Amino acid sequence: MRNLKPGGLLSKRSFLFLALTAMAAALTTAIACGGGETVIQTVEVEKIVEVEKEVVREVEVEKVVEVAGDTVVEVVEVEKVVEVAGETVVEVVEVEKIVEVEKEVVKEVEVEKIVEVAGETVVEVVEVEKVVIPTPEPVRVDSPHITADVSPNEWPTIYDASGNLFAKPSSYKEAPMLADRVAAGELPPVEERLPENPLVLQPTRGIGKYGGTWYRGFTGPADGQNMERPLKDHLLFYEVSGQIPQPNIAESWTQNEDSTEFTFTLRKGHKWSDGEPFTTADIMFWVDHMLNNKDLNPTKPAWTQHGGETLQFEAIDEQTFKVTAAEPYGLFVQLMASVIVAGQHTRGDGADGLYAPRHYLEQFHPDFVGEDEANRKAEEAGFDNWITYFYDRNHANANPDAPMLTAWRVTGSINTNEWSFERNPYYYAVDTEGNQLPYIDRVVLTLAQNLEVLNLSALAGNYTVMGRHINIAKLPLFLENAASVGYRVQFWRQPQSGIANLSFNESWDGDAETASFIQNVELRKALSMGIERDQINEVFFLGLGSVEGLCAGWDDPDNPGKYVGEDYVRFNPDGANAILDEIGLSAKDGEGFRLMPSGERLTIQLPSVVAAFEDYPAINEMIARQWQVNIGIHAEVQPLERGLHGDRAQLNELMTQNWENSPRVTTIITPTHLLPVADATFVGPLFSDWYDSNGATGIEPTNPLLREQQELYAEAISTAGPARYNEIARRVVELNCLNVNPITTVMNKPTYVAIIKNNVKNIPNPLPFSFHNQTSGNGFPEQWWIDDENAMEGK
Amino acid sequence: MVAGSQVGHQSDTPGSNISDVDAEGEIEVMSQRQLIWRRFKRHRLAMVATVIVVLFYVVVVFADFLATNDPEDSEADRQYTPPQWLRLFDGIKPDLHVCRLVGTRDQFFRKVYERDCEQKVDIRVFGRGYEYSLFGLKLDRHLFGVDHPELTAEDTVFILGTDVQGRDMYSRLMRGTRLSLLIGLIGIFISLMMGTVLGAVSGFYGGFVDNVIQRGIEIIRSIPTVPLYLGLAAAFPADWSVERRFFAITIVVSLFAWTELARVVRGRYLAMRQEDFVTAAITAGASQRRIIFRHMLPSFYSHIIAASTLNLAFMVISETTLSFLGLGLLPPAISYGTLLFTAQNLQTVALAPWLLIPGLFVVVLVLSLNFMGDGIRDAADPYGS
Amino acid sequence: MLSFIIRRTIYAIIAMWAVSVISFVIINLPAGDFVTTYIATQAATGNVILADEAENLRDVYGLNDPIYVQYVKWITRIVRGELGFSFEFNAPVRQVIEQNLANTLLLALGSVVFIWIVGIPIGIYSAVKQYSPGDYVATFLGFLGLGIPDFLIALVVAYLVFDHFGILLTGLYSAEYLTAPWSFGKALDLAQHLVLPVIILGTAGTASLIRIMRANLLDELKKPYVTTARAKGVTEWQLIMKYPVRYALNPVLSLTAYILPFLISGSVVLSYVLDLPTVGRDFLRALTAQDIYLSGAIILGTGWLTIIGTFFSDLLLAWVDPRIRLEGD
Repeated sequence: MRNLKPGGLLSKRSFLFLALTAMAAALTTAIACGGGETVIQTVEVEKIVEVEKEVVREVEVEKVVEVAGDTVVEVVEVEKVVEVAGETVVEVVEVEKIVEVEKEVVKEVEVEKIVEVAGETVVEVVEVEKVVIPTPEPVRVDSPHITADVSPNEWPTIYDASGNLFAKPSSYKEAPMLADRVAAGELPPVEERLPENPLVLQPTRGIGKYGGTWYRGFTGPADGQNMERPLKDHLLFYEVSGQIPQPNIAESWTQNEDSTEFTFTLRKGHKWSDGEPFTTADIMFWVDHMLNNKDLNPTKPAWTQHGGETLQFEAIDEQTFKVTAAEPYGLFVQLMASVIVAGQHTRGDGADGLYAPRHYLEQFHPDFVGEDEANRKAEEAGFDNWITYFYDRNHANANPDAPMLTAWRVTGSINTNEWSFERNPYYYAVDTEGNQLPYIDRVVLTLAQNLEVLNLSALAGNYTVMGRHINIAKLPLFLENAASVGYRVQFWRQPQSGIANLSFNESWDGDAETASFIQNVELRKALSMGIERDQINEVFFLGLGSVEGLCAGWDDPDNPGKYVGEDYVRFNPDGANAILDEIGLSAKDGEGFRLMPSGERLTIQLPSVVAAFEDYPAINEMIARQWQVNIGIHAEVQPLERGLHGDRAQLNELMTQNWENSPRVTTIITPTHLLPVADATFVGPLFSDWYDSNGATGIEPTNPLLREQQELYAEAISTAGPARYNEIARRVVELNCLNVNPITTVMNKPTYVAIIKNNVKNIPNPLPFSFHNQTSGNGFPEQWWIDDENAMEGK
Repeated sequence: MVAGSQVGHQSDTPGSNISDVDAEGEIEVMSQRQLIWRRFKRHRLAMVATVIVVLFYVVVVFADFLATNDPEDSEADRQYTPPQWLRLFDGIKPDLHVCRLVGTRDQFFRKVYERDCEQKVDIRVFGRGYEYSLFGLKLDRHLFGVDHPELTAEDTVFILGTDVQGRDMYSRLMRGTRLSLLIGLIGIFISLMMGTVLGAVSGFYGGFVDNVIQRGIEIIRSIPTVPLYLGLAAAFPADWSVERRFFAITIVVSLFAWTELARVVRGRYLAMRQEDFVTAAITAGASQRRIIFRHMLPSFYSHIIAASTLNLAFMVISETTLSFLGLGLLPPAISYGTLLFTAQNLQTVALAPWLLIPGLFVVVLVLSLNFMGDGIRDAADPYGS
Repeated sequence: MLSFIIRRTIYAIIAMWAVSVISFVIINLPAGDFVTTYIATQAATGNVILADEAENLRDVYGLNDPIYVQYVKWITRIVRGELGFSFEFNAPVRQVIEQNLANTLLLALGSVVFIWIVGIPIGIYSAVKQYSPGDYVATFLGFLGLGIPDFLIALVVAYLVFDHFGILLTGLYSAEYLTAPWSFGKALDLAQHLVLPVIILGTAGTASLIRIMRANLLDELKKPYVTTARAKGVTEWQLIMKYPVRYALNPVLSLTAYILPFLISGSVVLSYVLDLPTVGRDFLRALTAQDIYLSGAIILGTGWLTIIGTFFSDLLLAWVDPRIRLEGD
């Protein structure tokens, strides 16, 4: 969004032309009927004002838009001051925007000015895109202790009302525990610890107080995401809704017109948690000695490969570096902000993560100390070779010595029974009043490998804020204990995501006759209409999910008043049976199951992952039972261990898979649930293979809908501009709906049932859940605070 | 878990096998079998236990007949129904019925049911229900039930309540009993074969063969059982059908159990060789074959039965443990293990404790088998009091 | 005697080798490897491991080597005293095991003591009062522990205690003592947490001890010296405690060597259910995560310890009873 493209520069003759650009507005559709859509309206306003040594003062634009019963009033005020001083023109544009929308929030106003004057007339056209960030329908749950969603959203932000970054506060304050250390001479004063331009964050509801410990539970060394999520070590990061990349560790960025060159600027004076400077040298160390080191990275991360080549990184100065791609890489910034790239804390254990503490890691790297010395150190520490030791040293969760950039730094290893964190005295963010974040002093996680034990601890009030690993089936227990133990429950939902989507592998190469039915969209329609979704919702999700399709909220032009695929989401046994009779499955055997023309019973295999976050075998059992009773289809539930399920999916051996999908808006960033690309196994692993290998292996999809998805995906990651990108993001999902693959069952259940102590403040409401933007990281936990008698003001 | 199998040690303990009384001479009119039976009857606890074990095996055969509802029939409106008491009278009039239940979700999202005894659900003995096959016959009569094959959300009888999917716990328990006990039986058969053959070979040939077998047994026994099970159970492909998994589990379970039997058999063989009556038989010129089958085998097959009974208990527990850990049978198969596997969570303990009833069955069964085995062994000891 | 020792030593070494092979086979049996399981675990908790990262891991961990190469590498290391490397912890196995070894021994020791304290008196009582109602009740209670699966009772008790008393019995330490230095408070906290697991683990073992004790004592009581003593007018109590109990205890004590693998086995499931920080819990995790060198080291460790234990108890028995030395010749 930062990289606005000048529409063109025109020269005119003798007069001074001023181009004024105002932007406008945008708008919202369809919110009423299904909620939650991204609507982009691009308004191009070109204003040519002819003046002779005059000053234009003010322009005002007012727009009234009516959307589906909701009235939206948007007022855009543009104030312009033009100063003429000889031949130099300085243009200052201030835009203030107030948007009032019911059930809607409009964010992001960007103004970019390019003023070029050289005795010439300059006309500048700026295209501004506005993203309307939707929020799910506020959830009104009629139960005590459940925090109802509010509208408008209560979210933290780094932009003020006019869309600019908050100004740097005039002075800083810090946590009392740090002030004591400063007084003792152990730490430099807060002004010296913060970068010149810290990230200024406006807290969710108000300025917090310092102190306290955030208690959580974790399940073992594989549970790194537990804290990687809230610590969000990304150079860029999304705003709460997860749609617009924003500055985070990096201060700003630009990209060229064809999306092949990206320039990132780090914060001047930014320091690691041990006080050493964080500069582009840390980026280049990662590039030269980790990414391009064949031992540490025998195969490079997929995101560093584009157009058949590895991205080129180049440090311009201490704060600026440039990334060059061989071909247009329009998705790069989005990936940078997402968990796909992330940073040292999240991906350091695999020697990925874009940056690394050079000053600390050099002592373990053969390029600096020689291979013998590196291996000697590794063996001394009990490791096989320098490679595994290097992974370990850069794995901050396990190695408390590793410097970090995040709000809290590790003090107790994830490999022990207590994994702990303490505030990072050099954290780069402050609140709008200049209090250095985070507010909470420490984070302590206790090990509970058995989720029942973890949930019991949560029930007993041992955790301060805990959404991960909390089981929705225990909601009644949590609610009954809430008042006595002193916590509340908040639902963190993934907008437009399925919990148990039944994907059909259209490249399945088992029995040919069965395969032909699997590939038949009519069969999938019938199967979809044969499912009683309300039952599944009630049994497994306490009725808290919703029964709808992936495309809910998007009007279907061919079927006015309905969304694409809506008909197939409704339980309709008669319609389903009619279809099945028609496509050659009319004959039945003695047990009432439908037979294929060959006389063989059609059996739908339902491999189900055991011990995942949902009880997939049980859900599939229920689906199988419903098909048997309602439409005479035989299905076989096959419980599979997680590892085996993954293996067999890769090998194209699974006829179907039952799994979740990410929120609809992130389909391009994390495409594997819905599209046949990027190693995805759901709708056809051989098709993904074909796409990934440029046709060298795998097979080309014969289904035109799948082929179109692949083509659109290719466009979205490379050349599509933001407007086109959003068009694609919608179209690819509509293709899923048209193809009735996956068959959705229950949607939008609370992904996290977050247990929050009553005295914890500033948690956003609602807090949309997503993997790509690392919920609860998108709730900015550094500005959460604990309101108890020990809470203190900053010093 | 190992405990069950360690029991055999005591038969090897010194002093238990030497005596100067010649049993054969004294009570000539009674056969070995009669002798044992007479002693066994004196052991009251063992008798009670045996009756219970027999009842369990009645369930194995007639599981579907005893069930009231289709064990796989699910319905969200019946989720977590508490057990319904069978009422024998309406006032003073004999009338087998249960009260109708009406369920709602309360403010805590808990499913609560209210009993409406104005609305009776009639229960009929030998009523019609879902179809099943027994000895190759297609039947739809059940011991008792609501007397119509299709279940509705209202007309139901759940004497042990329902699970999260609204499935009848009692009927599932009947099915689970069948599968779990079958595993035990098949396992016993396999371990009996391996144990007696290898034990006999070991005891009979002695020397090198015996040494190899004994060392093998030692090695197997030195590996802790749970890891061994887990490792082996994790090894077979999880996409196997219920039947294949069933057999695989059985084999895994019996892989351990045979060593115990082999030790018992071998120990008996060795001990018998020195018995006076064997010496006497040899002196009397009996053939080797006659000595083994007429004299030696009868005197220790009761030990084999005893060891097998104890092994059965051990196998039921093992199946339960494996399935509980998600490594044995998996749903939709219904066994004690899978029933407990789905019940091992806080919401069950707190909201639907009746789902733990399968655990009670396991305990009763294991105890009964233990007492029965003990009784048989005591009875089999010809010199016991 | 010397030839006996040599023979038994050779047996023990062969057995140890065989156990190492079996252990290695067991840990490698499941389909896939650590990396597949790791990817799946991460996927199940909502994380995505990129395919290239997975390949890197396989290379670095040597999982692309043939299986026999992996075995040889592993066993040579073990012989050198190194236990190998835990993939999941990304740390040496020794470090991982050491972390919870003390807890494990404590739990085992506690259970053994419990088994003795409960099992031996009940065993004596049952033998002396054979077939009395007391005998039935005692044996019944003893067997109850055997019949109730550990995992079933553990969570139920833990929840009920929480629900009624608000006390959490899971784990071995309360959060505030987890990393605290040793103090009286911490020891008390630990003792409180140990009660439930020790009882649950102990009851399962008590049944067999009762049974063995009872049977051995019954055998002893039938012996002529007892009759003689009784005839001489020794009081019943002295009569029983003086010799028969001591003799009956002998096999019981030697059986304690066998109890180790039993306790490890038992503690695996219990530790999982109650989340006790023991090697057993790490073992289950390692096994399901296919962290093969960690799980392998634990299986191998318990197996070898049992063999060594048997070896010494055999030597002891042979020293006591010369007849055994000749057996098997």
